[in-house]
Amino acid sequence: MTITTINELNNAIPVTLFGSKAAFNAAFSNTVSLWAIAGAPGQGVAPTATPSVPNSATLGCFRIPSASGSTKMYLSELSAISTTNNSQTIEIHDRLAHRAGLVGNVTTAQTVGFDLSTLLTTNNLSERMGESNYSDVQWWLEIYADVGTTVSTVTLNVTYNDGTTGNLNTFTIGSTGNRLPARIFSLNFLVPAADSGKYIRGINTMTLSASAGAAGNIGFTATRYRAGIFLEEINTPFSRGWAEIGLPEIYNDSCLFMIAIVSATSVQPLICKATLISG
Amino acid sequence: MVIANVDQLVNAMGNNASRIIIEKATIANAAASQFHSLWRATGQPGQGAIPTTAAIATNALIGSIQFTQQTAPATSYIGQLEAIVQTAGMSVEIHDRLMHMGGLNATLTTAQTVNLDVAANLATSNLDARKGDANYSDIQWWMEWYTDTGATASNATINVTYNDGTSGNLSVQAVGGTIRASRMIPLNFLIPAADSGKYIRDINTVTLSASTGTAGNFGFTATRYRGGVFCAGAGGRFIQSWSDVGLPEIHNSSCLFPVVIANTTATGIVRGTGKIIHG
Repeated sequence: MTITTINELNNAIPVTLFGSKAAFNAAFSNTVSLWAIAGAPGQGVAPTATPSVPNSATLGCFRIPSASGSTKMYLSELSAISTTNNSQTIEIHDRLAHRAGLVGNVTTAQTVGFDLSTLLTTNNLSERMGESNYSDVQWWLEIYADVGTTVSTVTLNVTYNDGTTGNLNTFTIGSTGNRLPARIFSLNFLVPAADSGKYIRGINTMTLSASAGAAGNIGFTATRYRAGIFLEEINTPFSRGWAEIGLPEIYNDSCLFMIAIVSATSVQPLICKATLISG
Repeated sequence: MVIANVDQLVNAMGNNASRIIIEKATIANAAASQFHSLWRATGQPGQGAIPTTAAIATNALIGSIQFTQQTAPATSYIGQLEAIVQTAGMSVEIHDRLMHMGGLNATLTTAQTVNLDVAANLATSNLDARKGDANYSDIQWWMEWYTDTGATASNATINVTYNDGTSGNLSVQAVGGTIRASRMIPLNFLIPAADSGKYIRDINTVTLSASTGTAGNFGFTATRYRGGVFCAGAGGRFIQSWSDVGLPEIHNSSCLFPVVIANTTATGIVRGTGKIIHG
């Protein structure tokens, strides 16, 4: 059943999701994926070149129970602490779909072939992604292995929710802070003026203006944001309750993992706890 | 129905809400500590069009944050709001864009027709409910820039009609000095002493004392503030719960869009999420 009252919320049986990720090298004030970082949940692996839909059993995500019948699950609380770095944000996303295996050292168009509309019947994706027009989906370029230090402009051709295609505004990889494993680049704000009002449904090709210097390993990830928390100070646990995180529903098969906006080049262990409740 | 108790609030938050998604590209040439409209920023929601003659803005416009329209007596509210910015010390506000017009020329010194008349349009697009108080006191009025205007000093004399039906000029507003696209200048504080206690319901004309040297494109916008988040730190996700944001009612047809108070010479990428809950 759903949770419809404050008493049901308070009396719901909680399931704790505990995350603790090891230190790693990042770049100041950039967004990073903790998917492939060692710790808890376990270290996820770079996906293959075939787009796939991870689920709650995939290594790298928090293990969540399955809700049966009309039962729904929600995140009711999020806490986190950093012992070394202040001013960073931890977000919980549902990793909807991903692929990797693209390289950073060729300038010909690389086929991405990543279209959510072809994956909707897999692992409850159609429910997990939210709105049917793909407007709840966040798209990312994700680096799994160092692509090199030469600045290269990325042109992505995408398919929108209305079936039309076009290029996003460009961005660069390869510079300091934009080449290391775990670095992710948000793509939604790159929808150009000519395609205003459209939402990205899939990524077709990637073209680099120059070799970044190394093949590395580049991929694309579609996520849906669920909750986040800002850690203002070190050694201080910060918590956000249901009213602050908005009681987001967590669907069956959700592959919950952490994304962080970091504040130092050496990101020390992050500890995060989320509470999942079900009605 | 209205949300009248905490149980209904919990139910709406968890089970009956529309998601607010904001991911807007940066706008250059901002002015620190000044208001800037993200209406024309690309990303999500898409780039809104530059208005021409006076028109009511609704949720049908590209540029507005989408939400599920309700059938009375169901009522919608902002239940939760979050924002991340790239520059510390910025505010992100959500306004309902009630009416707007553009296409004014900053080289003309003759009176230019504005005709932004809320009173004459109350029966359209739920404007009467959206505007709030019957005396127009909930409306914020703005000059809004769509294309840069010139550097030559010039004062704008704005003739308005007040809620009591009388007309008069606001205190003059300087518009020289190369005002950049996206800038918003608030007008409510320009009500002169002689018209104290009155509220603007219509902007009739604007007359510049001198050409600024560049025609540019500017206009006038009427909005109603709905909620906001102050982001004290860069990269930090700042959150407002329902009690922080005040549970503002969001009427059908509302054209919700973000406005920021910049803290440097660019607005930076602005990301935001939230929930519009439905009772």
